[in-house]
Order: sequence, then structure tokens, then C-alpha cells
Amino acid sequence: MINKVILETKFPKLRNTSYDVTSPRSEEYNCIAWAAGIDNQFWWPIKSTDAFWPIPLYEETIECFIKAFNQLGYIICDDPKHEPGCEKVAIYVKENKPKHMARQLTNGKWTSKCGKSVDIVHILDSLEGEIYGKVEMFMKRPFSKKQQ
Amino acid sequence: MPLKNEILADLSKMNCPPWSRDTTDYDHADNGKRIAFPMQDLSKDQAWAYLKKVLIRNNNIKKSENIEIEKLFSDLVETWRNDTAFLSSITDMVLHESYQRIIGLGQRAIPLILKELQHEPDQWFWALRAITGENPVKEEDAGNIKAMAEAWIHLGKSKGWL
Repeated sequence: MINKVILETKFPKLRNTSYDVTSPRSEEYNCIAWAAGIDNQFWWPIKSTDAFWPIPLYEETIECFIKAFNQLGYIICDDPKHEPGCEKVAIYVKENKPKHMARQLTNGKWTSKCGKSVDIVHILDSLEGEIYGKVEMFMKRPFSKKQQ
Repeated sequence: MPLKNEILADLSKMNCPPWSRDTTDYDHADNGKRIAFPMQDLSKDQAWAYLKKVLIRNNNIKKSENIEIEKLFSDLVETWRNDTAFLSSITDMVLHESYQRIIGLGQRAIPLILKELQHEPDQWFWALRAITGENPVKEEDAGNIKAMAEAWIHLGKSKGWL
């Protein structure tokens, strides 16, 4: 299991907040796949077999990420507030390019796969900073019965 | 048969590399000097002793170069892994300087990358495609790191890279 000191060095806002490491390190999936509920595939808008992407549009733009998650039943929403019955995702953006995504759990907390490293459960803004930029977009869809 | 041709025939039977059959310039690595090898002045035993020395020396140079490349590769991998551990963007990963330097190692990097894939699958596919010009990964396996790694290892074995 990863040393929390490394995580807090990379993401200084994690210090003094409550967060848990919830998985071992894995190169098999990344944050975008994890936001979509997948833990055995690497997702990125790249037109090659290096990654999976659910739509035939390959751009590192917020619009492309929105369209990809529209495909999964998500629509844009105003804020990250917990809404019972709804599953939300958040897109972190740096210099107009999406760098990370987090997914809201049924208890209102957020789960993230940190690149090729570990999954954590955290406060949404605690991953903002030099690596992922800021949270700029929220999307939601109804929780499936299985997830509830 | 003249001694030179006799030695060449023996070397050919031994499946020696073409450079070892160069009968004029054996000492390419001696401070950059090129020394003509006077075959006709040596007995067969002397010629063999000399050739053996040159072969061993060149083999050692090759081994030493390989060790240097392995060390460089290992350092570059470590830097790349540390710096990209928290990234999800494949673009950011492959544009990292260390990754680009690994691609710059060219063909020499292929077996090292494939061994990395065997040991710890990661985003080495861009580099392998860039160096080899091949892509053995099926469309339906896109993003499936294990399946992609297996496809490359299979290709590597069939091509003799591993």
C-alpha cells in the first residue's frame, strides 16, 4: 500500500483532510475508467489501441469528456452537492485540458483513482492543485438499482 | 588454400559475424586507429590467437555497451514511473522526457521494454509502436493493459526480441 506521505506531497490539500486509500496500486485502469465504474481498462481520448474511449471523438477537451459521459447516461449538473438517488462525476481541468475525474459514492463522498497509483476516498477539492488543476464540471445520472 | 582463405572458411563455418571476417581492419576500437592485419605474416596459430583476442575484446565491448544501456534504461524507467505515477493522460505520460529518451534508444530498447511489460505491465505500447512500426493489439483489447502486454510479448517472442 502506498505511503500517504507520497500522496500528500503530490496533493498537498490532502493534508489535514479526511481521506482513505481503498485499493492497491494498479496500472490496469485510470481515473476516467474508474469514474465510469471500470477497474480493468485504461480510458483516454486517444485514437489508438493504447486506451479505450466510448465515443469516436478523440480530443483532450472538456466537451469531448462531456460527450463521452453523455454516452454513459450522465448530464451536466450545477454542483457537486449530494443528491440521493443520483450518481455524480466531477472533471478536474488544468489549462483547459481534462486531467482527472472523480465519482461520488452513495454516501456523498468521492472516490478517485490517482493515475496509475491507488484509489482513494476523499473530499472533492482535496485533489486540486498542480497535477490535476481545479474541478470545473459536474455531471450526474440516476444510480442504478444495483448500485443503490 | 592460402592461410587467409582458410581462416575465413573456418570463421564462416563457425558462424562468426561478418565484421570478424574483415581481413584488413581488425582493430577498429584501438583508440580509433585502423590497423591493417597482415595475415600473410602470421602462422595459422598466431592468426587464430590474434583473432580470438579481437573477438573476445569486441564481445566485451558489446557486453559493456549492453550493461550501460540497461543501466540507462533502468534509470529512465524509474524517473518516468515516479513522475507519471499520478497521471491519467497518456499524452502527458509519453511526452515525458524520460519516455522520449527511451524511444530514442531505438531497437536496443525493445527487449528491455518487453521485459518491463512481463514484469510490470504499463503504458509502453506507444514506445513499442514508435520503435517497431508494428501493433499486434486487437481493437477489442484497446485499453486492456494485460491483453495488450500479452500481445506484445507474443510478438516479441515470435520476432526473437525476447
